Amino acid sequence: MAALGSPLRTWRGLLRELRYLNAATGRPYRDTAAYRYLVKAFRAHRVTSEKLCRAQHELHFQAATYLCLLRSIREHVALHQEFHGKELPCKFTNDLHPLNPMDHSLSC
Amino acid sequence: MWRSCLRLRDGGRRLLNRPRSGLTASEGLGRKPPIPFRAYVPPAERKKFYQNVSISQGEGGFEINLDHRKLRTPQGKLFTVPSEALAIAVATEWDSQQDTIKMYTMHLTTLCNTSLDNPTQRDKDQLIRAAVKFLDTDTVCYRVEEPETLVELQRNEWDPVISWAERRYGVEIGSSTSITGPSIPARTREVLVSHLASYNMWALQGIEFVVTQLKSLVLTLGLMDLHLTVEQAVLLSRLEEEYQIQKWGNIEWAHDYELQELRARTAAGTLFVHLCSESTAIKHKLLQG
Repeated sequence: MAALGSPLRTWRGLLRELRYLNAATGRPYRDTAAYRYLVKAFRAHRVTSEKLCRAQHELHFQAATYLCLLRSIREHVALHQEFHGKELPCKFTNDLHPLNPMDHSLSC
Repeated sequence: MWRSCLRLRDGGRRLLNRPRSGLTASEGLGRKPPIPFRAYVPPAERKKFYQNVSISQGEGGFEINLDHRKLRTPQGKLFTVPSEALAIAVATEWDSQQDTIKMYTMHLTTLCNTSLDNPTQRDKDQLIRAAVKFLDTDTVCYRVEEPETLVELQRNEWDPVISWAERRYGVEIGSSTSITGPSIPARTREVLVSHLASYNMWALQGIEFVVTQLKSLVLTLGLMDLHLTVEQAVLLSRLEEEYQIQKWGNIEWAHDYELQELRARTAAGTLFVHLCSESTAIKHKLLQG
């Protein structure tokens, strides 16, 4: 089974991402359908019997996957906005340059 | 002992004990040429033309409303999805757009449109065959012969996933350093084809999408069976890139950009498949609980 970490951490991450999404509109994230659905789903699996262990894991997996989706889209858009259409930075670092490890003078 | 030297750390990118440096050039011996930042010129981005997004339930399933208009697919069909959770996630995508509509961030919407319109006109068999065909050149089966550290890393990280798949499905997969790739027995193909046939058409669109992104059927099966997280699967798919990044340095605008995009697409595809193939047994328990 995938190592998902704690459900609480996933839950907090989801709330954070929902807050980011709704920050621009000024609407409270608790008013969104996504928030209501997630609350319902997480609550439904708190009072469970062992038979639902697989269902619990599936829910957590889906929640973690959704969190990954929201987070990576946000970071992708941020990178796009930061670098798209602009002159791209290019530097050499001193110690990693493979041809001239001691040459500190190289730069773009 | 070897494993502890070259295992990837949990979820992270630290393959070796080296602090991340700042932006670096990617030139170097044995290093791939710098990935050019794509000269991507987006089509004129549509302005956001709606205020409110809501969901309603129609005859065919759940529909998305943008203000009072019902969302439609590119081919003009009514946008309907079978699962409430999927509808909510799609509605959230539309709701989170600001000023302009960035379609390249709306992966779930795109997947739904593909499933509804089926623009490539493929049937179930064709989708399954396309996915299983990837096994011949599956990333985790395709091994390098040098450098030794990369060989070791591939063995440490990819062998367990292949073993898992072989046990889980009772098949032989193996790996190969040959340029023609691994030779997959016919029985393996049959078993996997019949397993994939148990998914519905929508889920198969999602599966084929993820396989194409990760360049690996084995990793996709790991995601579908909850054996790997999206972050793990993406890391394993990009193992060589990560190895090179750790060795020669990271370039935010190329490496991170590609990483986040791959994560987003893989997460979307995985979630899509899971939401399209939820078993009714679980749904009943949810309603009771």
